[in-house]
Amino acid sequence: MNLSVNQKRKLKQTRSLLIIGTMLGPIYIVFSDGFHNIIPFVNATIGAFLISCVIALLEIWLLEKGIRKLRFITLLFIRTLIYIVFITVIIVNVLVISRMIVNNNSYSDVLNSQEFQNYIYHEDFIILLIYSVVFALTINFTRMLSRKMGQGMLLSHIVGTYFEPVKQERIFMFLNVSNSKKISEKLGPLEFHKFLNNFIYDITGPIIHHGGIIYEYIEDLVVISWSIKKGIFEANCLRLFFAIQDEIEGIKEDYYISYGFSPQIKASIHCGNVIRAEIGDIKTQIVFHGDVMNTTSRILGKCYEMEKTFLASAHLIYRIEIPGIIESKSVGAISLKGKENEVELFSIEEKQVNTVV
Amino acid sequence: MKGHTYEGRKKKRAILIIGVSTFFGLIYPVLSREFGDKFAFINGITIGFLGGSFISIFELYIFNPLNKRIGFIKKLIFKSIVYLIFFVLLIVLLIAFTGSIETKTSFIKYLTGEEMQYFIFEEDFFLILQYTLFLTSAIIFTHQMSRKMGQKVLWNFVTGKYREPKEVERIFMFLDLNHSTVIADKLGDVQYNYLLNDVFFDLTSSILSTYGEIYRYVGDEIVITWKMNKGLKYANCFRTFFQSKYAIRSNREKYLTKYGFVPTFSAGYHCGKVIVGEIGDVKSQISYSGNVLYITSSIEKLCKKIDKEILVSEELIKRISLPEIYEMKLAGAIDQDDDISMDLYTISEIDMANV
Repeated sequence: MNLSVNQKRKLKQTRSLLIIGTMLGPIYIVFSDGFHNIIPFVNATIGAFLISCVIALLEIWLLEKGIRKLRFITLLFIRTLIYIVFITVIIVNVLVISRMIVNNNSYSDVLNSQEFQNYIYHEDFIILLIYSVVFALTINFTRMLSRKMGQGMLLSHIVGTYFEPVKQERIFMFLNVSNSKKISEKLGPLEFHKFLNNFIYDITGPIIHHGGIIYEYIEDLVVISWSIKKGIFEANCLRLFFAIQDEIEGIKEDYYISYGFSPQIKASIHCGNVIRAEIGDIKTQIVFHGDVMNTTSRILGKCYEMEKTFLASAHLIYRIEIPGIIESKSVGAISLKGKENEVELFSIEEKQVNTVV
Repeated sequence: MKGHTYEGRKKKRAILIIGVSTFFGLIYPVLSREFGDKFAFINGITIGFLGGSFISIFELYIFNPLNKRIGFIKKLIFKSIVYLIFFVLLIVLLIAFTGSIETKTSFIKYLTGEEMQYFIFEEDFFLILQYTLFLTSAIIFTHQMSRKMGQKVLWNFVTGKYREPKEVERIFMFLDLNHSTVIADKLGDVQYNYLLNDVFFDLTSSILSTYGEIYRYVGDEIVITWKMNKGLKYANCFRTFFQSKYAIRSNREKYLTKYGFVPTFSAGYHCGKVIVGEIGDVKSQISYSGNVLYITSSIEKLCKKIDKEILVSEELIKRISLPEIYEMKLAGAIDQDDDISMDLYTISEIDMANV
């Protein structure tokens, strides 16, 4: 089976969520009941596994789109509420079924038995519930925070991966909305901000699906980066541009209704060595430093000069196996402002696919 | 004098941590439904309060300065051990203490007595310990993240304060390292990065103590912003620059031995209306946008061209009342949009010795 980058990413997330979630079950039992009985362990493991499945299903496969634009705190509460419902149902059922098996009783017998009623209303049940809800809340909070901070950033901050500067070879794409200056004048600053935010929301999906990480937004410029391996794989970094075009094309009517036009994009792409490091004390940022960034920015300037939509440097093009649907045309070697060496640039276009006669 | 906000911030943070932990200490007996037992409440609150105080002191005052020099795993293990020992001792001693009062026996007798043994090995002790340790890690995590993300950024994200973009009035300062391209070429990428990090570290307390907020780092440039009233008061926004200069000056030996020179800066100031709002889904930023930022940036660039340390726009000069220690001079002009030119002033400190 051939999986897209996006599906692989989702599967990976699901796997780690299931493993961590399932482990939390037995840990609870170690602390609360001790080791004398095997049944609570089995119950906790099964319960935790089922709960993790529900969370994974909801978080990773269902709730990916749609309600993302809600306020952080609202979203957190909605999620937690949904969790409480599911977790209660699962815990009660697991407990009942395990008693059914152990005591060889029917479902309603166990549910109505004195012992079970007692357990629900007077014993550990409420603590168990609180434990699960607190963990669900924590996991949610962390995941939402991690999303806000950008892919992989939360972990890098905690572990301090880039505490010491690291040299990396990476691909950078600078992407922006063409004629943004005019658009901003036409819409006014407040509306322009809303437009930009909408635009960024819409292009986030394609970026993640093509394995790119969003490095930063500078006004209307979005800086996207890949490790060489991920970017080159299936020409993901080139395909992203067309995926974004398609995405915007599909919803151009919405843009037209809200803002009176549908945005066109321009982008430049280049690769090379950069330093990646954590910087600052209060307000820490993980930043890329390097000439590559300046060069990529200059290539974007060339897009406007040469009236091209997507330019790539030779450094990158020579390393990518270009798929049939994409065409790269040399637009000549260009000396970039402030660079002694010339850089050959390629215009990247989609091949016109006509019906075969 | 313009209070020492760096210490002030720590105190505020400490009070917040103690408040939150006392609250959770109170919650525990409620959750475990020990309403009838007043000692359970006393225990809960005391553990919360003392635990919170310990976390504040440990995180803010003792461990904080060391934070940067220890790897993650070592730090994790070290902190876990410290907190584990602390909470085990705290819980056991406190329960024994209130227990001895409740049962009117001596402290030592209760501590070694059967009831205590029962509590530790059979009853809620492990649950309480787990509860406290979990909350401790949650508090530390939130504190650390909030610190990393910058002043109030985490809070603004959670409450969604800038979910809808707003128009606000702000002062902006672009602070730039002089001769940065030459320096970068000379030092090489990695060393240059160390230099920037050292500089940003040394500037932090100057920025905080003058109510500046770090908006972002762009290469070798820091963008700092103030709310109008905070920046204008005591000319705080200018003090940031001079305090930063002194901070670097007092560390000049370190820079000289490590990098072979002492960094200097130039700064451009301007103020006005900007749009502030959260932008982006993955990798959200709270971003400022508007013409004011462009103008501030070009003022800063002009600093280098006409060789001035500071350039301040007329707009800001009009609104600020300069303390006696500073004097201003007309230094140039810059084209605003629509070809209206705006005067720029430079600020310097008066030589106090000659007054």
